[in-house]
Amino acid sequence: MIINSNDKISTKQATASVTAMIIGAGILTMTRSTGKEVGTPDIWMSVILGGMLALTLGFVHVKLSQRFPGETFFQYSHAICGKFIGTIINLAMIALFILLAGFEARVLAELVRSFLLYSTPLEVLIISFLWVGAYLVAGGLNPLVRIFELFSIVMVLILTGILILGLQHFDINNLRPVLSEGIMPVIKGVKSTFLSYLGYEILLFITGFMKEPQKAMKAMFIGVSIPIFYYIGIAVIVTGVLTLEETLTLTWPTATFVNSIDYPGGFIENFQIFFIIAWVLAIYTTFSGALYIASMGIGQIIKKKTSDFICFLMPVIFLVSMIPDNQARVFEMGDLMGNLWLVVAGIIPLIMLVVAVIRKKGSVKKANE
Amino acid sequence: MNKKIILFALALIISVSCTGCWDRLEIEELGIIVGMAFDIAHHEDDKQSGDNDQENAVSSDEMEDMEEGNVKGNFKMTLQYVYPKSMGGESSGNSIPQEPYINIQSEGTTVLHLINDVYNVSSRVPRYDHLKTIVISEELARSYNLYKFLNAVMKHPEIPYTCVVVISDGPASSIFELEPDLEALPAFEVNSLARVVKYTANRPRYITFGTLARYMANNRSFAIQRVSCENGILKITGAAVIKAGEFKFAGWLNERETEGLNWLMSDAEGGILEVISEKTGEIVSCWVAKDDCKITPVIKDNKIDFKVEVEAEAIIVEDWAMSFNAIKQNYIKEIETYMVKEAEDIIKTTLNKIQKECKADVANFGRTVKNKYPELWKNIKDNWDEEFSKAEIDVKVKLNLRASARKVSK
Amino acid sequence: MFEWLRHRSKPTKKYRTTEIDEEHIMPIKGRLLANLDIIREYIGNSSDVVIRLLRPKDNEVMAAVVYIDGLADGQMIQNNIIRPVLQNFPPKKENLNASELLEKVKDSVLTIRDLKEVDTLNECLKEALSGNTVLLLDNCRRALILVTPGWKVRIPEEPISEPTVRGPRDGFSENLQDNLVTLRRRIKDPNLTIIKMELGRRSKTDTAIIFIKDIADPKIVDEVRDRLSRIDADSIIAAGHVEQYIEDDFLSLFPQIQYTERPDKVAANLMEGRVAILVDNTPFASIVPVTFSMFLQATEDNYDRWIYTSLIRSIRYIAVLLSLFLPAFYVALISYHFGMIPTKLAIFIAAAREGIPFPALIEAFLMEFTLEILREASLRLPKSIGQAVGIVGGLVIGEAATRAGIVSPEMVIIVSLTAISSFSVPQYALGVSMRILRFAIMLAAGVLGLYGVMLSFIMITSHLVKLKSFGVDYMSPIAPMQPKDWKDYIIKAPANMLKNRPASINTLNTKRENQRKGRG
Repeated sequence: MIINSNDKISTKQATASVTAMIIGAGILTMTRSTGKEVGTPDIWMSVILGGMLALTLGFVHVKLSQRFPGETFFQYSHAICGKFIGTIINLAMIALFILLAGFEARVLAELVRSFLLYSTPLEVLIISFLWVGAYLVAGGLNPLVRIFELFSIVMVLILTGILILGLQHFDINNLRPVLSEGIMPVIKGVKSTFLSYLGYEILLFITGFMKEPQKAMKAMFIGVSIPIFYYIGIAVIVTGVLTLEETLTLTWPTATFVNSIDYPGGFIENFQIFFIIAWVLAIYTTFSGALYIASMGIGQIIKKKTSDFICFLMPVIFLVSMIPDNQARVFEMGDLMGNLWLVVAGIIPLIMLVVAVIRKKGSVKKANE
Repeated sequence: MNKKIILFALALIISVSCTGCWDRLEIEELGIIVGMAFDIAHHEDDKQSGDNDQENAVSSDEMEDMEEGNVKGNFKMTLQYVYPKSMGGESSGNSIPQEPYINIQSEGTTVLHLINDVYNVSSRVPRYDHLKTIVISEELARSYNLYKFLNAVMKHPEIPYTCVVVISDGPASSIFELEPDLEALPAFEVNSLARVVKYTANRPRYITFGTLARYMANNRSFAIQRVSCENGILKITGAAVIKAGEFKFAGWLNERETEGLNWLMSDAEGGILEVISEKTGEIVSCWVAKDDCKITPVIKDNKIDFKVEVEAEAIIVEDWAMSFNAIKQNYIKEIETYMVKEAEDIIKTTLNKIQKECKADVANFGRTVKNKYPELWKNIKDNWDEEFSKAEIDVKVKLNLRASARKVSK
Repeated sequence: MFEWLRHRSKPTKKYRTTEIDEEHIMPIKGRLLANLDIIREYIGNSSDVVIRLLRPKDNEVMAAVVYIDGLADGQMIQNNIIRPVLQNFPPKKENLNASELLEKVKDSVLTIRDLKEVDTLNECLKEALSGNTVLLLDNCRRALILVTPGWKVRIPEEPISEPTVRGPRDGFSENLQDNLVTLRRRIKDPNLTIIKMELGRRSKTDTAIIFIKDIADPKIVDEVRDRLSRIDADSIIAAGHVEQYIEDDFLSLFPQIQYTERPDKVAANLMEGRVAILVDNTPFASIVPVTFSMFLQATEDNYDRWIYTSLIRSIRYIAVLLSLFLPAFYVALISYHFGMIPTKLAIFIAAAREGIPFPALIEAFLMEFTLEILREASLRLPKSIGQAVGIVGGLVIGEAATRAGIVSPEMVIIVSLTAISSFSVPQYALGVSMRILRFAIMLAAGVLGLYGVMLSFIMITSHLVKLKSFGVDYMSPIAPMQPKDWKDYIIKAPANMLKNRPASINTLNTKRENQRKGRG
């Protein structure tokens, strides 16, 4: 596929894409799922470690992508691993992004049903969301990254507001004792925080479209650091306000935390609804990014235009999102996805980078020619 | 491309218009509930109060009743509905002024039963989004595990975490029947009243529903504001102690004891210290302006003791001997010693009460142990209240007396 | 970082970028044709520039007059310049050299009342653009400037659709030539270029593309010319007609071309590097390319102080949001999320809605619909009757409907606030698209509550982000983000800080000030 010069994206946009892709459904349940693993109020340390892990993997992704300027993962995987294995990896990647898109849509629907529309069928909530996402993705990469750019600012503003409002109820004692059971539980929790960091993989696919691919590393670092910062904030404030024990009993700790804010002014009675509505934006960005990458992957495997596969993908994603039959299964699916993701998007690119270095594939080879 | 857009738009319109409005519920079709009160239902043939097996929400008698299809529950819920017509809107002329609220009662054996029963008596769909106050009667709290009881309420997605929870010393439903003073509805009145904590120390800090849920999840004893109605006047003073573990009512704290509790919680701002000066035999009183309490656990021979150090600031307000003079240090020092003694006395009374009578760690001594000795805490946390009642607590108060801003002497 | 900038300012072959440079003096050359070539190079692209070669009958010396049609008085030139020169030119036998010839012509041939002598082409160009006529003689290094100001003084008519408090009071008229003259008078830059076309197979309507050739992006100009020439219609009646043919996305609800009655607005936009299209018989100029923010900027913004303008502009953005989402938000809150309304307000609304027979959605539709009818009715009627309609609508329907219990007073507040908000948008075209969208969002709110409102917000944002107007991103400068342009976006920075032309449009020349230093 020839990358159209109009499709070039700026470093700022790449940064915003990473941020917008990462911040999504994960933040709503992160404190609970991590808290369950950690068992002490040291959730925030796991979040930091998870962020470090994401940064490291992001580093690998960028290094890998920079070896193949102007190409996406789906294209250079062939070059590194050969046609057959490359195709298998690509298919796994596409499947993961379809899974991610379905998961995001389902989580949103569950969230909306928990607090806003108690009896509206899930199907309606999901389908209407899918259409809105498809409309954007049909326009290609450029509108997508612009939406990322626009909405990531909105998300950051909302998160900042919530953190500031939450501070009045914050009690540092709820975070103590620090490391009461040593570092081990913290490390155990890293895996479940990782689910919240999904999305930085977008750099595997958009580095090739960047105006200045050499700045992809900077984009990755800033783009991942912003979510790390806010995740730490949310982990600290939510446990500091609700206490760990209470957090573990809640389905949506972050949303309930917002509900417990006695915020000044009284312009809106229930801040929670406002938060959930605003969070549609965050989930939307992750969803449409995943949808775009999945359709791009199929497009590049079959060597057709990307946008043609969106209509084909919609029913697939819809079916995926309807697989879990209740809310608890949705979260199970999330955990499963996190694990799969760690393998496919964490370890495989690492191996690929090593292979590429050994076999001298990519830009090194090009430089020699 | 344009064709595709048309397709998208069409699909969107179809998907929107094929759907119904499942959740649509107009504001005028629903009953705005602002208050919720829980009691034990009493019937003539009911002899609940002396029973020992009240732990069980559904006693065998009730089960039989249910089987007969004649449900006479042992819980009673009173919901305060707003009656909007007499609150806002235009006065429609000749109508007789009516109370701005309607109390609807339901009875049932379980909380869900209570909540569901409302639909049978209320023509408006009850919605709890604007719930302001939950009142629980002492009687109910005495006999049932509140954690188990309120669990169903906590699961309800509409009930806001910000509503205030209080315990009434009489029937909870009677609180909602009072004539409100300044607010339009009794539930509002309780809510606003409970939130006034800055200027008085004879009530604990108000507990919202979210706080309650947090305390219960953390298995922690706590004190809830006590609401009472004396001669038709709503009053919030003192506190009810809810003991961790079983989450039952464990005793009242009177005003003085509550004040002591506030001293321990660093919340004594607004409290009063009154002493009779030994020298003059006249009353001296001061107003507590600042209170900072530090609790440190001391472990000796596997026994946990505590050291309580309070640093406070107070302003002398009344001196019936009229001999107050801020410039004279020895006078201030003298009053200070009385005050310190009084403060320590108050705190010790409270400690005595919560340790010996209630056996509940209301002032959260446990947290200091948890933070300092997490390993030890793991072993004793299940039995903490017992452990706490055995602890020896050393109280030290350091008071800084000030003159009022306006007058330096007399 | 400035690479893209350099990339943009590369001049293309088609138009040579030219400026009248005070320092770069071009003396008049000996050869007449060479002089004319230079003049042509500077202003010759415009169709209203007239360069007339004269060959007096008794002499072989060539002469030329240069003037701008419409600016200079054609009758005067014909009678007092061309005729005397052609008929009374000093014959060859007098054997005068060039400067003597010029003296002679000046003193005894021309019957013009006022003239002066100049010796640079710079001045010639300047004078020509001011409405005077330049007379050049072959082999003569001086030229005569003949004062022939001839634009018609029209009775200034205040633009009805865009009144201002501080701005100029003149508007465009139906005569294309007059309109071009008004523009010329505002921008005396030789680079102001006018390309004329004829549109409509039968109507042959004169259409002019106006741009400043060393600012406007030639790609945009070509695109405009291209799109105009592709119009295949019997007749072109008015500018609005042309716009429908050349807009980017005819399915979009958002206007992609801005029209204005105000020459000052066109001038300001030309200076930003945009292209204006004037169609004969229409007192409106169409401006392309546009961005969303342009529709929220009034002409007046340029004349008021920046603090006031900034405040007003941010209020306009809030007004846009209100007029789009307020009724939908209200419907969603009333029918779905009443928990979000502050308790005491909720009680009052519930009291007011007691006895209203319709659900909020129907009620809102009813009121909005009534409002639309009222608006339409008062628009088409003469002014005096229109006011009566307003009174009937506002007082009788609003007040009576509330009393009769058909709508709640809250709904009347919401609907009127919405209406006022949509009127506060300075551009009528955007107001129309918002009114249509408002109904759609209300429907979404009626079905899915706030979730529906949010989805429609995302949908609209996605659409806007995709939309382009003549290759320029509609939502710039926020998507793609161009923080440089934010100085003149929601707020307006003080005038001395607005040194650059908008970055969202490619311009050959990005600086408004310090041009010599800032190039490249």
